[in-house]
Amino acid sequence: MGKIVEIKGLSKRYINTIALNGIDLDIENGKVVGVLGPNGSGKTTLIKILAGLLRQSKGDVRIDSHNVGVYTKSIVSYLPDRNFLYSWMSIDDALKFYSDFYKDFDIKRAENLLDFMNLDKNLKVNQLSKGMHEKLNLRLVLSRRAKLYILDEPIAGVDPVARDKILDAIINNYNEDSSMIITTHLVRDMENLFDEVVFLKEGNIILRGDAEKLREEKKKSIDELYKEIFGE
Amino acid sequence: MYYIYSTLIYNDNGGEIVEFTDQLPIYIQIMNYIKKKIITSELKGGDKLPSVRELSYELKVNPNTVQRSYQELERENLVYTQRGMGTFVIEDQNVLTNLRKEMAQSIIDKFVKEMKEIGFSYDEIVEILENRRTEEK
Repeated sequence: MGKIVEIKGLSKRYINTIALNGIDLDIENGKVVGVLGPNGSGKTTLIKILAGLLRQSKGDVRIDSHNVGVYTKSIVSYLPDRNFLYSWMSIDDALKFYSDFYKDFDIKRAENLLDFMNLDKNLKVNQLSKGMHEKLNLRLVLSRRAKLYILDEPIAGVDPVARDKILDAIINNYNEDSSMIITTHLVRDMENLFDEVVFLKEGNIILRGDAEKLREEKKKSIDELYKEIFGE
Repeated sequence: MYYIYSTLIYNDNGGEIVEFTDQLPIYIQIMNYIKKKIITSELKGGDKLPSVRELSYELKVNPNTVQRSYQELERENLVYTQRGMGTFVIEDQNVLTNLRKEMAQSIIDKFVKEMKEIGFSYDEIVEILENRRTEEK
């Protein structure tokens, strides 16, 4: 099995804080990896580096054997943790916007997902509730035929019904040829999706492993493990 | 090997899983879920299991996990896979009877262990069961 992501000695400093402190991380093709950690642990920094929005201070990051750049952006579909659409857009505009931007955008798939999530095409972005926003953004991101999906807090702040829809969409979208990196601190809701989990604390990876093996070894759910690690 | 009977919590309409418990790996819980369906004859010998994708969707778990459950069930000779067709429950009646016995065994093990932990002897356990039987008649 090939590796979609290879990270060696990755560090990121902001003027006087260290966000990532020399981490090593490989991700195999076809895996769903949960990156877990509290606020300020470095999750979003890591993801922004992978998405090409930030540059590392030190270290090596390769995606599909390429350095982060134009090519990797074309195969990485990234869901930011905040809204990225203009408020004047209707849902239909947003679809067109995305299909203009990305060659691998599958408009049919987007429209199927649209029905699935009960979103009306004519609604304006600024009329959407937080849950609908989240669903729309996710739909756009999942409708690309990408090799790597990076979802930053995909279910933060949505109600349980919308959350289930979002989980369904993620599962439906899964296939062996693409990988996913998902950050969350809502571990209980998402842990069953993960093949592997990575615990980040203050810029270091303090634990990583196969989710099932960890459950077996520790006799704990990933959620309990999370509370144990970050609880004190 | 684990055989814990009620690791999954069901709701009444159609036996969908509502929740997983914490202590066991998910793939084992899914195996138990299918074993239970086999034991209660909800799935009979020769029946097709839901596809990996269907089940992962229904249970909201990673398809790789469901895949692993199916592989393990196959290794335990409870199901077989036909390429391009799907996964089926084995038709050997002996295997199914054994499965039923094994599961009963594990429920009893757990029950006896817990009763002993709260200080009951075998005689007392039997007595309680006898009383219960009379009551239910």
